[in-house]
Amino acid sequence: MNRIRILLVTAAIAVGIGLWFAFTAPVDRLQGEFSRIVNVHAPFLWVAFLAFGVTALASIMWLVKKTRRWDRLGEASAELGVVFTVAGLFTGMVWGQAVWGRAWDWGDARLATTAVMLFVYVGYLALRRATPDPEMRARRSAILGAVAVVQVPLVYFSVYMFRTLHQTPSIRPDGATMPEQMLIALLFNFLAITYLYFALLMARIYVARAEEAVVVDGSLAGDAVKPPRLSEVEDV
Amino acid sequence: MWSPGGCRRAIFVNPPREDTKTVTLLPTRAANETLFERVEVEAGIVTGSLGRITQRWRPWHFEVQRGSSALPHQHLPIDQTALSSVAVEDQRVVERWRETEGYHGPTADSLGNHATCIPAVSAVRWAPEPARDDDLLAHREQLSDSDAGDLSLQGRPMRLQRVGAHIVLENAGVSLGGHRVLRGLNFSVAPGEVLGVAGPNGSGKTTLLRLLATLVRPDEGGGRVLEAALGTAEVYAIRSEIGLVGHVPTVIGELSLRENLEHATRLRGEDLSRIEPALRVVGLDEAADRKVEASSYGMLRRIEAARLLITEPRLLLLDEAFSGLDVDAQELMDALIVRTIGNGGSVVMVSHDAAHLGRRAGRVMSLSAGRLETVP
Amino acid sequence: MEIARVDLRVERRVGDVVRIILPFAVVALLVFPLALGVDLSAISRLGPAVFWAIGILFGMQVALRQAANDLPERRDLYSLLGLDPAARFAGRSLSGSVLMVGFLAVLLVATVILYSPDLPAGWPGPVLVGLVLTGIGLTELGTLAGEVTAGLRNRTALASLIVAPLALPLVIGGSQTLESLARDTGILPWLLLLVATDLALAVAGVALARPLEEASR
Repeated sequence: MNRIRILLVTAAIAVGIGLWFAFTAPVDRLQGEFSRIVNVHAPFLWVAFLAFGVTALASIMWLVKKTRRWDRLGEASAELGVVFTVAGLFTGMVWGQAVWGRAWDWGDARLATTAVMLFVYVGYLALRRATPDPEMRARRSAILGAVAVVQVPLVYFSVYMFRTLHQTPSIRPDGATMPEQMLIALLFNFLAITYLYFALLMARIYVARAEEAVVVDGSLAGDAVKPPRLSEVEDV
Repeated sequence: MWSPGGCRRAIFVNPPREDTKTVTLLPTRAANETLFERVEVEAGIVTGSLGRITQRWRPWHFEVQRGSSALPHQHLPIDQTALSSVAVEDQRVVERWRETEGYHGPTADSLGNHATCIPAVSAVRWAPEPARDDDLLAHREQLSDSDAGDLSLQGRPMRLQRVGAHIVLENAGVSLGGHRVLRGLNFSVAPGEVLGVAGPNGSGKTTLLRLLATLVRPDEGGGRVLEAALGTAEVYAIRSEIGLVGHVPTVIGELSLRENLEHATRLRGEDLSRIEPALRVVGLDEAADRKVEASSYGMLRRIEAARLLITEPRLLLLDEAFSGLDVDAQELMDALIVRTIGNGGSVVMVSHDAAHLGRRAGRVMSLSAGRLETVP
Repeated sequence: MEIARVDLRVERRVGDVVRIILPFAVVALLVFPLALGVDLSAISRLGPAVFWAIGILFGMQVALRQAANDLPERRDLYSLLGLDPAARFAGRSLSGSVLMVGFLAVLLVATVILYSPDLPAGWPGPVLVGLVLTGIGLTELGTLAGEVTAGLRNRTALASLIVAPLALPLVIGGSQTLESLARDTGILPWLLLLVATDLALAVAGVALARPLEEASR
């Protein structure tokens, strides 16, 4: 538990520092203050992508090894993935709306693929919630994860094909021409937010383990059924 | 009359002549006292009867060349078929069957082992000449395990094979939906045995059968069914040798009875010509074209019986299979049990009616609170 | 093979697809232009897009209906008959694909009639190929999703949720086939995309068949 606490606290500090960097770095001429959002938006999306990969990997590892820890990892990563994806999309939409006057940009393939990823997560978590038996839950979600591993790259690929065909000039500039300070801020935030993901992941797995310990119950299902008390029929 | 217990067999072997020996095999002591009402021997044919159902065995004599490794085995014909001759040709054991009208069983040629009927051979005894009728009835002792294995008969090697138990459970337990349903199950079922499991509703009987059918895996302990370890991929190989009669008849609703049977037969790769005889045996030859939705519960059970006649499982699992059936259908179930046993298989029946089990099963265990205890 | 035959026979008797899902889909075709309130020329331009969107969304239901028919006793029966789960998947996909392609074909005809889109030269060929490939892929996806949600509460909605995002390559591949035909750019990449998706799903279906069978008890 202490280790988790340390992780969380240091992560919070790191993110704090990152934010400070973000707010003190110089602003982009065109975008104004809103360019600061990129400092969290891009890392959020990166972590969303990472979390997805971790869930997919955990699913396959579960199918191979069949040990609980992979299931816990997959579940934790998926939950965090949803959070970070929503955060990333939200910050992206705020940025788009404020800077370019448009919250959603069809020309940017990354948006569409990220949205798809979000719904795959949501489906994964919905499947987990719908399955009461822990063993079955682990099994089914691992299978879905494995299918996603196969399908999602195809989704990405197809969306990119779509985008290159419907080439609209990219209105979201890449960061290559950023001044050095902005670049440092951005990179630091990448690291800080990734670290945050990691800390939260460990915390979530810890909680999951604690939950499981409580559930185990020695009684048998059939014990609760007792023979009828026929002599008391009259009393009803 | 017949000794209780699992699958034992006595083999009577003549003193070897120069280079041949004659082996007489008795049937598996598959009929326990409570299953057959009557057992008779006449003209070398053993007949066991239960109501209108009869099971016949013909012990056979054959000569085996010295040094051949033909493994003795036996087909036990069901009613209405007959093994007409057995011979050794080119160091193979060849059986010839005379197919009579009515339902027919296993096919003609066999080479050495035949998976469905490997006997639990335990020992060999010498007899001065081929067994006579009295001998068949008299010599049915319990033979000890130490007699098994490679034996040498007056210096000449002869291999006997031992087959393992059909079911072995070691401390197995099952939980479903987060609740523990079964725990600490320890028992075994030998080939040729009928095991009854009694228990009140909610005691986990259906789950036990599904565990034995390899449809559910144990999450505690383990076991083997038909030599395949539970919870591993080995079970896929033996699943087709298990027959399960569940609470609810398993048929496909939108098809007719006959189509259901055809579907199952085709999926099993069995010959479609077996369908008509099976339908006749269960008494549905005229009603077979009715849709499942228009059929009564009893008819659906009979179609299941027909399917089991065709698939010939080695392990038959019955879940309250006699409930709600008329006398004819109950007899049909009995016939299935007798047939399975006769083929060297075993049966596990589950019921809440212990008396009913007592009439059929050689051994009854009681399942309560997820644990199994033998009933004396 | 046998599975496919029986599934189709069941369908012929019960006729869910023909009697319910297909008419529903055609109604949806009618709803779109009315809801959008667009002018006539826009309607014909919308045609292909609407076809693919409705085809995928309703097509999913065609694939899932099969899974809905799959009661636990039936699965047990198949297991005990010694049927390999991979074979079951293949049979299901086969019969489902036949129904799906039929469904999409009729839907296509309805769209052409209702929306009178401008169809480029040489149109039936590649589009039909795309349609068949999309149908196969959607069936595979639907079969997988149906199995993974077997026996769960609210299964159809959950399965649809799972299928929808993963079906994107099929939508894109299918619709782009027609568009690239119109623009006279290469249709091959799109068809290849569809083939790749179908293959990937087939491999996944067969490889995961056994774990899936255990999972769906």
